[in-house]
Amino acid sequence: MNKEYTYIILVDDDEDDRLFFTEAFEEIKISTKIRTFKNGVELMDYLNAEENMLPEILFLDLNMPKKNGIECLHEIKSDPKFSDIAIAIYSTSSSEEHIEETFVSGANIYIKKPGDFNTLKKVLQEVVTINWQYQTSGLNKENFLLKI
Amino acid sequence: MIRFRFQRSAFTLSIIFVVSAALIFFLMGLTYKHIEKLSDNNRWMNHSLETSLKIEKLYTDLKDIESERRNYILTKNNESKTLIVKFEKEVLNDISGLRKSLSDNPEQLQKLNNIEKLIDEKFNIVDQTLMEENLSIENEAVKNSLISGRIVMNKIGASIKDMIKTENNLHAQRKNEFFFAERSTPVYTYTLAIFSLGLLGYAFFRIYDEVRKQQKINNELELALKTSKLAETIGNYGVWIYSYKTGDYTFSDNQYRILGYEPQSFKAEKGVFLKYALRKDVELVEKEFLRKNTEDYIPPFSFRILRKDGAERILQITAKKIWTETDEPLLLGITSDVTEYTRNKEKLEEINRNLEANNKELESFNYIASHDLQEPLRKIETFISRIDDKESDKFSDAGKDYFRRMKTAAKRMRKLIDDLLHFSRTSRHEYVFEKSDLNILMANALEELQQKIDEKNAVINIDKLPELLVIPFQIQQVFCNLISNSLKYSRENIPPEISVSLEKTEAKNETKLNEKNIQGSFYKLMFRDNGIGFEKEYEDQIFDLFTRLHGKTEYEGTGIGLAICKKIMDNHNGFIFAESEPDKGSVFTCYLPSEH
Repeated sequence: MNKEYTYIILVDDDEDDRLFFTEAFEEIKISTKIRTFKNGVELMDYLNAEENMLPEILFLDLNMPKKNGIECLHEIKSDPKFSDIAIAIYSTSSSEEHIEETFVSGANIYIKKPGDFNTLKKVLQEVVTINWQYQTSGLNKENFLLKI
Repeated sequence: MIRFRFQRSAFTLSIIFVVSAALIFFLMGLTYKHIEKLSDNNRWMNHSLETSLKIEKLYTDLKDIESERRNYILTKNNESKTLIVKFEKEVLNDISGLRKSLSDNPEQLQKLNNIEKLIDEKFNIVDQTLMEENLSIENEAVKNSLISGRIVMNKIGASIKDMIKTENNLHAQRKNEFFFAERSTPVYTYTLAIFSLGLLGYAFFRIYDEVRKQQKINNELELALKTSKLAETIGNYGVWIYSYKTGDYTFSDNQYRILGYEPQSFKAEKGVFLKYALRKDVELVEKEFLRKNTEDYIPPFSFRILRKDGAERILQITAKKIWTETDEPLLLGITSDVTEYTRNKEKLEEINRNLEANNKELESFNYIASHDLQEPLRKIETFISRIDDKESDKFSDAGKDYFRRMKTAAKRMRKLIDDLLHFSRTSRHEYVFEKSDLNILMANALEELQQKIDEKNAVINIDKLPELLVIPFQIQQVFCNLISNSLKYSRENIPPEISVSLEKTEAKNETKLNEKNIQGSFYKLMFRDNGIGFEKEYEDQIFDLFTRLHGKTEYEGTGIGLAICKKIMDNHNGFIFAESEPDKGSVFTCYLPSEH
């Protein structure tokens, strides 16, 4: 399939964060298609429906009602049909436990939500332009947490 | 031990007694024997003397006969004749008497027989004389008879002398024997008597000594018994012995009191403890006591009883199997009344549990609060950055000022939350201690602070540091916080001079550690600066959370940095103290245990 945009999904229960996220991509000069969900249940329903297109990159918030980010991560990683989706953890927390757990569970990158819009733009741009194949093969705990 | 010594001593004494008794009997026997021998000797000596006398009498009688015969020849007197007959009878008597006396001496008897023959000859000569009608001296026959009579008499005299000599020799020999016996007897008896006296004396000394020792042991035992009874009362425990043979118990006085009874007021029979145990605990007590049949030791176990006065008490029992001297197995037990102890312990445990729960709650509150506070703050920050980018040029001057102040407030809030989060993380104990080179940790800390060091033109001198078992990133944090403080609170226009010195020391040589009764050896790290310092009264307070001594506007800071240092030192069983003088500088002293 030859598309001229990158398909990105964000799952975050926080409306403000979804707003910042979409606004940031609007300002980045990269062609993307953004879709957002409010929680893990909505996301999984979407992904599991055959007719829906799968994203290239999935941004997962951890702390969400109904089904949290870790549960989603486990479900996605246990299903081979989702193996092409790059998963970026997108969380307020930068605690060792969360980083460790998501790394072990197979997430591709960990992003701590920045407190500055310009930094957010930089971070997202970086994530979207990463060569995922390269990032995944050289993945280790040191470069798992994205530092801008 | 005591018993063993006593037995050995009794054995020795018995031996001494038997030997002494035997010696005394022997002595008695010996003395009797000697006295017997003495009297025997004496008798024999007298016997010899008597015999000698008898022999001499025989000789005298014979001589009398001879002289009367001569008288008769000269006077023809009939009186002489009668005397001769009388003396002859006397001689025969003498001979038969001598024969008796010499019955045990064949040699002398032989001599006597010879003399008897000579006497017979003599008597013949005498008889011839008496029958001779012509008694004139001119008569040849008379002459001859006188001559032969003398010859016979001479022969008899020689024999008699020989006999007397033999008898005298015998006497002398016996006398010698007697004297020897007389002289040696006292030597024997005295020696033996002295020896037995010695033995008896030794036995007496041993007995006396033993009695004294026994008395001392008795006194000690009495004291021990009293002390042990007193100890039972003071320590609120009782002692009991269970006999496997009879199934009965022997209780100490205090064991009765623990159950609420007067001492020795009832017989403690099989299952006595079950009788007083609360119904709920009977099964437990039964089970624990069953161990006595399979194990040598019943470890301490607690159960509740209903005392005689109706009070519910908690007792703890432990027991051990022992053996008597006669190898009879017994169970020696100790019962302690642990009611107060158990109740206090339960109270303390309850308090501890609450404290722990409170602590946990506080910790998680800290963590969650700072964590959850981040979320809205981050949004405020992001919105500020959005407004800054897109809208700020539309503000009035007042609006711009308000907005700037709002930004500063948000920044400060960010720092507070970050530090608080950091602080709550240091209080968690799951971090691992690693052998770390403190020089490397210090270098890392300095690298973090490089920008500020350069800005302030600071001069930093650091001693060579040791390798220690620490939580590396925490110690690095302490170094970082202390040096960053020194940089932050430097005097205006004076480049900060910071030194870190190291010294190995003993707690007893350090006033501040000594005050807290701390022991052991420590590494003492002193962080010295020439900064603005602070008043002496704040030296302790400065380590409390959110303590700030300076205005926020002059010096940025949250008052958490030193609290973190304190907490980290606590985690390492170390200590941190501050000393300072305004406008001179501060010294922060860290003590890290040299052995973990």
